[in-house]
Amino acid sequence: MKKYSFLIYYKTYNEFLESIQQAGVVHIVEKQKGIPDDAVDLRQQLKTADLLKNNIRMMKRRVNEQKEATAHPINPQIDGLTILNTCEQLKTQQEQLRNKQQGLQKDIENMSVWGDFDLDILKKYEKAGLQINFYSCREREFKPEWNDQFDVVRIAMVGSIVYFITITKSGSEEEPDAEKIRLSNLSLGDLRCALTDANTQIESIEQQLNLLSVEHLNDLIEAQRQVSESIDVSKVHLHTEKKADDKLILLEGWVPEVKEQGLIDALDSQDAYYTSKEPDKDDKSVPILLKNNKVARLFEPIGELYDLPNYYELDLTAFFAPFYMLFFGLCLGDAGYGLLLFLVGIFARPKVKPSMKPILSLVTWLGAATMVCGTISGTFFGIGLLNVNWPWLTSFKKFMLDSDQLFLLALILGAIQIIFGMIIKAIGQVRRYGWAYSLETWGWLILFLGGGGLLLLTKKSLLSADTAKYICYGVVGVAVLFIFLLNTPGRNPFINFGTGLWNTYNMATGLLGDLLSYIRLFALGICGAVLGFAFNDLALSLSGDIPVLSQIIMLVILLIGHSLNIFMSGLGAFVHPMRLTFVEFYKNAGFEGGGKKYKPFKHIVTE
Amino acid sequence: MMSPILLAYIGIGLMIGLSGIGSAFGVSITGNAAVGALKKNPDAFGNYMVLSALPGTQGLYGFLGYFLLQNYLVADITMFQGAAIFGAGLALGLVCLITAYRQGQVCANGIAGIGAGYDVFGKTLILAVFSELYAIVALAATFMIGRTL
Repeated sequence: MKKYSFLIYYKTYNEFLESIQQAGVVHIVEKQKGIPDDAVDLRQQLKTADLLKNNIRMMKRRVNEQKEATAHPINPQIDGLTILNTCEQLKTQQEQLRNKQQGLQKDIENMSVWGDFDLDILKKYEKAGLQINFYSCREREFKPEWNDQFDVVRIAMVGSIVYFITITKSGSEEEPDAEKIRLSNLSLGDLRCALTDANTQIESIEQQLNLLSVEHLNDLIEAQRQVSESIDVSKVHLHTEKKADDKLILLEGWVPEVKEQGLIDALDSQDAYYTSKEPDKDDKSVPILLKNNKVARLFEPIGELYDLPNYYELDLTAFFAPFYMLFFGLCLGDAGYGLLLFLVGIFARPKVKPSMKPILSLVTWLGAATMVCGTISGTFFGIGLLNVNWPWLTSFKKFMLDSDQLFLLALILGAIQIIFGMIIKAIGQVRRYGWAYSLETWGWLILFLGGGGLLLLTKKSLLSADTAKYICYGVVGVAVLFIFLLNTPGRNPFINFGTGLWNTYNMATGLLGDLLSYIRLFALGICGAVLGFAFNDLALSLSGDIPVLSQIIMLVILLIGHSLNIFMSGLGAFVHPMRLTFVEFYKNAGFEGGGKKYKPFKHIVTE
Repeated sequence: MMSPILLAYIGIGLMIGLSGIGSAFGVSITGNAAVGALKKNPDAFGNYMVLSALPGTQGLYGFLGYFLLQNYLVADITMFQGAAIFGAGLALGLVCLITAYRQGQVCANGIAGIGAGYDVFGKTLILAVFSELYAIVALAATFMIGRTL
């Protein structure tokens, strides 16, 4: 990365921004010193962006719901924001109508017990000096004396509730001890008409929204792109400094070396002064642009779930990718499931959006790894291949591992990954700080690799006991020297010795825990395999022996059971290797992290 | 004196029952958190679902434990076998119960964080499986106990 500083005359600033946006390679340094030209405008844009996002989601749903409907292409004559306003107005109207609809439904429910009558009758009675009131109460609470006292007329009875009216003289304050009901201003007939009218209007708005969705979804997406770009520009204004009585504007940004030419070409036509330099030592603000090959790049999103490396350390994506694949395969542990994932990845990839293609490529690779690991562990859709007597399989069985061997394999793989991590750490220390600062790590590596190698050679009788003894003294001697005395260059040896003791304690306890953590590879693999077997067993024993029906039941159990197993085991196989990577591997590889992703200021391209 | 097969079945009952209860607690806690978070941020349903499903695995470990030991569940098993199955069942059941419950709480906090707009999905996944390791270790121990019978 190179840090560019631009000095621009204020009148040409917008033009300059347009040209670097066009070049799309400058990651703007965040300063929070400037202010946007119009903060109110920025707030309004953010609000509009939010509204656009919600409306686009609504429109996409509506387009999907309409069979055989395809969203029309962008119409440059249409202003997306006008469509947004229309949508919002229609939605507000619909919301009001829905509230009205609910109110009417409630009124109809209340009025239906009294029947459809002309409300003017009540006014006529009132003119004649009589008032009619409406009540309800439980039947057991209804007092017979009310009949004479209030001229009660029982209208209806619903369940145990009695609905009745009283006819009393106007001004009379005496009332029965029952719940008084206030009627709607409209008769039942009018209410039903109003409800039909509201329903029609809601349906009409629904149709209008459906039509708008099909015709203008892409116009709204285009408007969203424009608003997002406008917000980006406003944010760049936030990171600019004004100099020389606001006549000059200072902007800084990072550009990867490989993309520098693009910027230089864009600036050729600009009247801007600029300088570039290498980042200062330990500048934490340098953004990260990962450079990986085609396969390792697929694993970058997994690495990003944890953290990006900082600018000065090694990117570990390519180093953890093969282990991750292998661990995923071991955790899922079923060749059949692997085959399924592999096929899904292969066949679905051409049919999805470009942004989804890397994910499906990853699925393909993980499926392939699972096929290999599932074959080694001898499981195919829950069938234990080691236990079946298929003649054609006999020659392959020698490549399959039983559960004891799988247990051992998990620990060996763990040891390999931990040692590999420590080698990466040592190399990283040599590159960043020099050999002297990496001696402690090399000391541990000499101890582990030397000790392990000696043990192996002695066991295989390739080395005599005497020779092994002297080599062992040498290995331990060098390791002790590096670990206890040379762990920090230029410091008091006694302090180094104390540090060495503390580091030894941490290494002994930490390494044991790290290694045991890899048992999960074995346990999760067994778990998936046995659960698959359990579902096969259930399908066979629960399906009965009725022709055709039994086969259908068996198929249903197998389908549901294996789907559940694929989901749960797949989830475990995704998450647990991630933990092994980010905790055990990253720790031993000395990963520091804290990197910020390289996000250039550029025009937004919608898919 | 309690017969060995009875002891073994009590162990199996504890194994399946406690681990199932743990997972039920765990996924309910995460499910509730997901419903709350959906109101704030409905776009991240995929993340909520993955985190909600995590505490569900312990229930499966309990069921798996039963499958690993089912061959020994015969009427004439020895006291040694019965005691081993009881011990394995008790250990796996208890560990699964507690880890699923606590894992559910970790995931629920992650879900709430995502709902509030923080990008904590990956880190929650990593942190959540810390507690699950012990359920896995208990399952591996159950497997090994089964191998010694």
